[in-house]
Amino acid sequence: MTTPLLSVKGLSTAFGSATVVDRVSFDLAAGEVLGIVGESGSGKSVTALSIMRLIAHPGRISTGSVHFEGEDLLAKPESEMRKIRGARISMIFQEPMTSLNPVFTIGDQIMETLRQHQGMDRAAAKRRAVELLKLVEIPSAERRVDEYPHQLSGGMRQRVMISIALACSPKLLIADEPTTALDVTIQAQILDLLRGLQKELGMAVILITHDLGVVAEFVQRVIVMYAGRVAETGPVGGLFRTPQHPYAEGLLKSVPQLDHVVDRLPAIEGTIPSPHDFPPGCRFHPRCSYAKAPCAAIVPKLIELMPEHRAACIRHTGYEDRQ
Amino acid sequence: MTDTPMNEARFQLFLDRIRRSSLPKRLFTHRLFLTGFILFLGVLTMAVLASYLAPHAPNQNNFRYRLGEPNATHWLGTDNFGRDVLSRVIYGSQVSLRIGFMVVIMNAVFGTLIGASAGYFRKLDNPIMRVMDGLMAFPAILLAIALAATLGPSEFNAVLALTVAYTPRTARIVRASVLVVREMDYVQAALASGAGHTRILFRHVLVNSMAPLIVQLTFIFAVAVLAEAVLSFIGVGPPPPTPTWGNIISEGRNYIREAPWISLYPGIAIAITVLGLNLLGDGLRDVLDPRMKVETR
Repeated sequence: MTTPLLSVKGLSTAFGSATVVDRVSFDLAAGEVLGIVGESGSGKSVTALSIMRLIAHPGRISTGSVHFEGEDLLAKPESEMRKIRGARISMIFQEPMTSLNPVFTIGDQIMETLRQHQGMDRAAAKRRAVELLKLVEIPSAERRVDEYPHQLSGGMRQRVMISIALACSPKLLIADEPTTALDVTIQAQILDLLRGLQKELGMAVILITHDLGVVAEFVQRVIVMYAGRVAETGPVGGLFRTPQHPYAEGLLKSVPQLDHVVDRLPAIEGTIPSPHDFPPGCRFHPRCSYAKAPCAAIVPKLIELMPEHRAACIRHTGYEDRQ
Repeated sequence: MTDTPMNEARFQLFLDRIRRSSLPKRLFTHRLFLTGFILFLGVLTMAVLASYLAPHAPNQNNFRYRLGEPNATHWLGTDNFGRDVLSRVIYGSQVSLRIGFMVVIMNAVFGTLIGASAGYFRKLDNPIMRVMDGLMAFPAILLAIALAATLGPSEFNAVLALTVAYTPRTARIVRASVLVVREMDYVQAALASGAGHTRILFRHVLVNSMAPLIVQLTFIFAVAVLAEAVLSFIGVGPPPPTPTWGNIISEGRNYIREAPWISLYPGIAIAITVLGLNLLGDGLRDVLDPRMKVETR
């Protein structure tokens, strides 16, 4: 395998004494689409922000390394990071309604990124802004470029956010729940757009979501996170067909299916624990239907069960068949 | 923040409706703002056109008509030197407004710098704001009097004293709104697209924290006009015979029984100016900060 575009090794991020992301590792090849799935509070967003080095005080990255195109991002001075953010790695966020500055036109905001990273003059940046708006399929882009965010709908604003993220043709786009705040029909449009752009531009995408439907449609590989740790990771087909971690299994069971009519969808009992009192051992064991005594004592390791498909459950290492 | 999605949606609708009408239109259909604007405009006109409006020179003595009652030549009477009260009040507005403007500008500059640094850079927050708290522990007017008395009576020193006395309040307001705005998603988005702190602070944070500052500055203006009168009255403002409203009232104080008009009319001028500015500020606040209006309805 060639050097991956992004290589995250043993990344931990802590807020005070609470370790919100605990030794997360993964690789991402150029042009690959990776999904990170998990409930709210499972550490997905913090993982993404850690890669961007955007963890605000009092949070800090305590251990691990992040290599992007062979460069160690965690060792870079802040001024170097600024040149990478928005240019080589871009990010889009969950809330398109509030992610644009209300006092500037959308054109201004696209141009800001262009002028900063590519040193374009106003006229060139404006032309490029219109092109970008066309790229994200905003109708009558020439007129829209001079409008203010409040004149645009949520879906339109998310398209603008995407156009800002793509302005400098990044190698990696991190999309943090890009469709969560949108209507279902708009969600589909935005996902189609992202998928199309990903193919067209050949960039790698990390898609963070709690929506397994989004994952199934879009990504090639999935990481399921629970309470700051990677529970399971694998190619999307394999993971969906044969989930190995009880949490991934529970998540998949809780999705309604068109061909199975059920009264009540099975849910995973309980809620995700607070980072201040994660349970010992496997962090999922209090909610796990397979849990046995050792689960509270042993932190399970990620074990490769099938090619590229790993899960962190003691059933695969400890008291059951696989050793 | 409104808490339920329903409220949030309704609030967005309300915001959109408000934003569709232009800012001047919203301002001038607001009755309080309009009243305040007219009053303040009157005072401003008086100050700008003083040399045309004043029937006499402000310091022209007329010893044949001292402490004279209001009549056809001296509409508001004369003082103990026979100076025309109307002319002195009109010229006095120049000094009052000039000091007011200067204090507002200095407050805006220093209040924004101090407040923005404290609100945006967390490490500076505590040291800066504790100093501001220390300054605020003194009643502002006492601090201003003490400073003006130490520096000596002059217009510039009055401005300086009032700036020091009122900047902590402005800084606190700027800090508060910077603290809110710095957590906005668009600030995070700007960080993620590689913007530096200076750009974020000036382009994204400060621009969006201006509304409370503008409102505060109109109140600072009113307070400065009033405080200037206080400083002049006790003799630490611009020295006589400069016609300031405080000076006129102060000089008329000894003749309050025989010639009450000397102190009465500058007093009324101060009242009208302060009332006008306060109404203006209230109106601005209602229009610039629709969130507050929603909550009070």
